[in-house]
Amino acid sequence: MRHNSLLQRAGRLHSLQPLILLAIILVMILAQSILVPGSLTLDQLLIISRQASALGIIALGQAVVILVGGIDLSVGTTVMMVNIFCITGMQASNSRVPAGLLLCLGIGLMIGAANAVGVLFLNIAPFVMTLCTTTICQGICYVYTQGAPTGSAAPFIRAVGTGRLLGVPYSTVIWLGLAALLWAVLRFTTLGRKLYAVGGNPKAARLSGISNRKLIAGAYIFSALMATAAGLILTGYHNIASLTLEGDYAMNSLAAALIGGNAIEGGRGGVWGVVLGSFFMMLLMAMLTMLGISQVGKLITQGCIILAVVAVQQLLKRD
Amino acid sequence: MEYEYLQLLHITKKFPGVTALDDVSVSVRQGEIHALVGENGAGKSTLMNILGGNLQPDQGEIRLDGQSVRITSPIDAFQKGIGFVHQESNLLENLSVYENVFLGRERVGALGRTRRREMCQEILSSSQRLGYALEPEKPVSELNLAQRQSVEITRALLGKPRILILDEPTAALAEDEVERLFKIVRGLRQEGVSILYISHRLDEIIELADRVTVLKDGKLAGVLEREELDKDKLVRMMVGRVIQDIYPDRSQVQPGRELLKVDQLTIPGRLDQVSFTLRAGEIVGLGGLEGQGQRTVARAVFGDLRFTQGQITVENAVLKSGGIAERIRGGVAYVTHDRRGEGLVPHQSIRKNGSLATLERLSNSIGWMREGRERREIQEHMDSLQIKASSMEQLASHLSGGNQQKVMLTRWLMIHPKVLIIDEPTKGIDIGARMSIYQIIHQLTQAGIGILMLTSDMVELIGLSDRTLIFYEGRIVRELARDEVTEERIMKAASGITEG
Repeated sequence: MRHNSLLQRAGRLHSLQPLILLAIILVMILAQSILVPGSLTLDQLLIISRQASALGIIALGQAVVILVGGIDLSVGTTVMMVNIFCITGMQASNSRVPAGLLLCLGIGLMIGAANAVGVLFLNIAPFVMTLCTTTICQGICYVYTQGAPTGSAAPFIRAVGTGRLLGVPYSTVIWLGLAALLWAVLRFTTLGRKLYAVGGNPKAARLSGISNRKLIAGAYIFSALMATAAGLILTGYHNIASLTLEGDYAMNSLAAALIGGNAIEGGRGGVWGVVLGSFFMMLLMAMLTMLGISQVGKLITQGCIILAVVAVQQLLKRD
Repeated sequence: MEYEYLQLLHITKKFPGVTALDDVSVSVRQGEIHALVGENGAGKSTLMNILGGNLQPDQGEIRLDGQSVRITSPIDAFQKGIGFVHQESNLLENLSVYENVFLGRERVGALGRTRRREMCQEILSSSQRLGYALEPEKPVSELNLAQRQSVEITRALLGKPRILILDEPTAALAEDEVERLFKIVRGLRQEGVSILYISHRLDEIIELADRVTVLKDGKLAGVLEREELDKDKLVRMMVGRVIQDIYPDRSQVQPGRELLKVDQLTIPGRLDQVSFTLRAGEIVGLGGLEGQGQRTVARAVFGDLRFTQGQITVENAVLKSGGIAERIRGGVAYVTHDRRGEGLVPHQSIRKNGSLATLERLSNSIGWMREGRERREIQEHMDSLQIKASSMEQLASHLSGGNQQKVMLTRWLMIHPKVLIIDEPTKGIDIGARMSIYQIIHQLTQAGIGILMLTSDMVELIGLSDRTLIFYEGRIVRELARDEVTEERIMKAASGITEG
């Protein structure tokens, strides 16, 4: 009995990880209002949430791939490719938006499907396979733009990237909407049960009549589609075609999911932790900018703080 | 040989809320095989962990060779001449036999070069002395369970132990491999090594042990000398019941209509024209040595293996070579022999594990789970199978083996099966929970389910099966009815000996 209660406590603490993160975020916000008096406003938080939304949406996809025991490094390049083809496809004209959207959707589907085929049918390790798609897509982007992409986004896409609904940025609304949807799917549906089972014990899932391959393929395609959505939002926000837009989305989305309490080995984790994880990453970046820390210093501080957060979570988890 | 080399005196070990060992004394003579029996939770593992240096007793004394000692760590135990062969294999798959045996105590020459040839030679001589053959350079991943165990024993013997602890050494072995292990153990006794032998299998203990110490609920229930050994007596001491009560009385069973028909099933190199039937309310046991095709048949029936020749019929419907999902819909269930590896999702609750094969039935048309109904059904099964847990939200990994097996049964009973295949129904489960599993199986047959049982435990095979099919090299070589089945007949058939 003693054994049980101890283990149960440990089990509950695992789901506590998002709460620890929330507490850390609140402490950070408090610290900011003390360090830079008057800087803390609702609008500032909303702006950070808009900046976090692209990473946040990507991290949702990444979280599902991690959940089924995989990893997706190609999300950043998917963003870049969608950005470039969205701008060239739409030619800054609203009339070409539907065709451009279809093109982007097609790109996302192809990347996701390619990852799925490589991982499932060629048995390539997810890390390597998605790294390959990354490199190939990067190459395509360089060749296609000849190294110098030009153009700007269609007004509709711009509106999505910059507009607000009752003061809340559209991109934030889309992000949280997708998060709520994913949460409902994972929490309440058979699909969610199956995804957790496949990640938690693939052999057990298979022997229970679950089709692992379909689910894993679906996870990679979902991740690519989330990256596509993020790419469209970023295109609207930045209004340029750029070869540097991929940023560090692959690594940062992984970090967001893991900080949020999702297990890298699969089978465990939720949605809200990932949402908080993404917000945390952006908040950290914004605060370091506000404190006037140089780009180089930012990287060092960012790394150290993420390390500290994860260390705290591990310590609290232990007993 | 009456000299008591090891004495554990008045050992008490308390954990918060539970007394694992209460004033237990055990003494082991030099060169004897001393068995330690008891149900799970009786205190066997705690006692062994104290002896192995993993735990410190709260009270009591350990004497080795008359000297009072403190065993502070597993390494300390090794240095004091206590070898430990654990129940679960602790070998590193990617290394070879000799690398595993000498792990952490490599023979090293000049410049830190390992002396491979010397180590291999040492393994060869030690294994030959005990009458088995190990290939020192073979990777462990290529060895079967019995060979791996020999590697573990060789490793434990490296420290020239005076005491060797064997924890459930036969749990994963087939009958012929068990015989081989016994030879090794007896050989060690000849050399004056004291063996502490822990096992659930009472027949083995009666065959092998010189003395038996019985533990019950953390207390010493008694010590039996070889002459006094008797299965009924042992069971009574362990659980307070007699052996006839262990297996349900199935002499009055009247099987009903035919549920499963396997006809000329052939998978080249694995199965050769296997045919049999299973009727409602019947338990058909598939026996034989390990890997003779029993599991292949079970997996083929469950849709996990493709077959090109032959036919499988469930309730007169011919099964196409579709997958597992289709078989489940057709009412075929398979409780795996490997609960942890391919049965349970460890980090999930009893509830979610229980409903994993019935998600479609427990959800509406858009896949939204009907959790109320799920909870109700899971609760019913938890009650009827008597799963002991704080709630249905308890994680599967935190349950005892018996309760985990009941969760697996819950998952498969939820599909309302017609044919239930149970592979090793009581592997790693203590005798109390075993009896409860046997009762459940018996009751399921009364409800009209046909049960196909695979087991390497011969007593279980005889005790439960209405008909026993013996496999040898992918064929059924013998069918034995309940009134003609004996251990001897099974062994003969299982070794490929035909009799008239």
